[in-house]
Amino acid sequence: MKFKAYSSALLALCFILVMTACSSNSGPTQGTNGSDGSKGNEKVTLKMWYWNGAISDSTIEAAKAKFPNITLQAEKLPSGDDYLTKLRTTLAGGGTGPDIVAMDAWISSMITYKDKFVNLYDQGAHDIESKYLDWKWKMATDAENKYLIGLPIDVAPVVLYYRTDLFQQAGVPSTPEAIRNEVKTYEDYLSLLKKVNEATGTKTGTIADVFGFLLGQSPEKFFDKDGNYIGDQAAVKKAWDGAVKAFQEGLTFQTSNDTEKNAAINGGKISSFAGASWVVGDLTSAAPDTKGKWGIAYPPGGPGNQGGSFFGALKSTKYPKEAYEVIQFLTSPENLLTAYKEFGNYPSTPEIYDNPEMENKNDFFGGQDLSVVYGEAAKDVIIAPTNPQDDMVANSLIDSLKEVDGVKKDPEQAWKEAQAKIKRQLSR
Amino acid sequence: MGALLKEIYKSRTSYLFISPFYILFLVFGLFPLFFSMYLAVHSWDGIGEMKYVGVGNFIYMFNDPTFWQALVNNVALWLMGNVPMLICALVIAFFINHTLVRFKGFFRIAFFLPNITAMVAVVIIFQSLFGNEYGLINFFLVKLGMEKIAWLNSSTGVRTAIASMITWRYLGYNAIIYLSGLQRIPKDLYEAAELDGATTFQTFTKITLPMLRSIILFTVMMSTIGGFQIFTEPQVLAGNSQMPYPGSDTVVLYMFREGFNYQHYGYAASVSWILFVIIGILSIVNWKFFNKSED
Repeated sequence: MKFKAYSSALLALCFILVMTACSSNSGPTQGTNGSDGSKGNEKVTLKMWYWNGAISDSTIEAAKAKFPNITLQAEKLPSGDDYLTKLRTTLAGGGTGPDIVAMDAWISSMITYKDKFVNLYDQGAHDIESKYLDWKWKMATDAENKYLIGLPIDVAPVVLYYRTDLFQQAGVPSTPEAIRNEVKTYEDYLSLLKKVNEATGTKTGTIADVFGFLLGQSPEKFFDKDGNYIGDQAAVKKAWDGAVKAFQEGLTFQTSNDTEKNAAINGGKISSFAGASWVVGDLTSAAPDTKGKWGIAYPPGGPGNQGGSFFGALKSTKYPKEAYEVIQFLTSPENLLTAYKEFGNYPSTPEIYDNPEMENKNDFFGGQDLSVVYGEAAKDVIIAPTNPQDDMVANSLIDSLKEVDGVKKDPEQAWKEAQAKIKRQLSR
Repeated sequence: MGALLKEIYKSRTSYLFISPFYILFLVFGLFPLFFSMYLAVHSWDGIGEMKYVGVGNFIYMFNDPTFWQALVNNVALWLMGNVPMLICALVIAFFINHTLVRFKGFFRIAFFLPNITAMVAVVIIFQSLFGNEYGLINFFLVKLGMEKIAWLNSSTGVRTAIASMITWRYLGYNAIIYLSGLQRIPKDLYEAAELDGATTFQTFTKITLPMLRSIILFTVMMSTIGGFQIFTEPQVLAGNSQMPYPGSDTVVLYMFREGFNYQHYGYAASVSWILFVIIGILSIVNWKFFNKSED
């Protein structure tokens, strides 16, 4: 009998362990959940999701020091699609997820589900609106600008990365100022590329890179404000034709993967390409042999934006006020400056662009101060209306465009096929 | 019914002991299974409301040229990757098992090793082998005075790359299975054949193959199931790339993209059910084909 009681107890223990294993992380928060956090000295626990590079670790430590009554549990998750999928499933599951979440440029696709997020306007976000770049701020608001689901962290303005030595060799404008003044449009850039190509045999990025660059400059993309599909009209077709033209003139470099791309850049086959501010890290590690030969300039035809993140709070949080305070602190200009100095995330607060601490002279770029060009580009970004279907449309178009280069498909035929595919997808 | 419950109650301790598996199976196995059936007839973006669409998902699928292309790619990859691989595996197993070969243990391990390497790493290495501009294979082709081949620009080239990954990875695994089957065949059959003056080829076709029928059925079925669910290789090779990689889009990749990139979860569920039916039919065909004379 004694044995039976013992084994039952053991079993019950096993059972409990198995059950709790399914709901990990619920433990630490339970202590505070019971008390509603209304008592003055009660410690509030906030769980935060972010990915490596979204925010600096020292800023998180600073936040912990600044809010002694808040236990900030910062969880670093894998970045990219995995992160988005995890956030989506959490929203779908409806259970208790994190309180604070980092969001990437796809934040606009979350506007549709804005009721899953805390409206930061209710928490007083209007007071700090003027500190941030207007276009960046608007990415996280609904169409009526009544609902704000995230505060901006960084922006990723697109600029022109170019090889100063190759440009000089070809006798084309080769200083940032000269490029800004003399290479104003995409057509100017094409003819410059042609001269550089004739003199040195070098090219720009892939046909898809050029398409993305041109599309980023456009005030209109695939859908209008009301969600009508306009991806088959002038704005997108112009970007498509521009990319095709660069390909037809033999100015695009075909690479099949990042390894090949890096080899091409390091081997001096690429004279220039348009890339976001975060390209610096990749370029520096990909092309050590070309150190000191690069420069950046204001992009011909205007800048775009590729990436840059936000912090928002989920509606399921018990402490929206505290969450907002933490977010506001994390995205304050001073902390964004720290992140920029640590790993080059360009801040979304223009007030600090002229701050002497922003100076970022880089040996890889021959000692050029990168902040100047980023700042100029960041202020001029135009953002086209976004739509949850943007990814699908962009993928379909880029897949077809890659076929133009990869398997030499007729550009008009590829355009028609892509449009047919998109319309099929949109029809359901 | 009451008696059954009473019986269960009587041996409740035992049921409690086996319950962890069943609870986990219920949560992570059975529930998703039935939920995906439910999903397959709905349209759902993962967060918003579910909408009942009946067979709408299936109609859309059968009219989608991309789906059919993915299926064609799948069949091509399966034929190019698995058929030669299984034949080679059988031949390798036959030779390892041969009395003349020494260091059997070494060969067993050497052939099995690829199977335990990380798949993503393998794909990345093969990607650099087959690279268009800076690939190792093209490097040697040029050294030998031949033209570079743009492997990743044509569907044949891409399929060759993926098929060679499959072959490289599963050759040893299947060879080991064949080897265990070969060792089950009684030695006296071979001795008798030797006395009758049979050649190696004759022993292979008249003794080895017939005796291995059930093992062959197992490997063919497993590689059909695996081959139609191929995902990592094309995903890592072509996912997020700067090139079209023609011929690399498989049904699972198509399903994954529809579900997790475009948020058509209901549609993705119906694609997975069609894939289930296809694999089921192929398994039955395999069964009939290899098992016909064994009763």
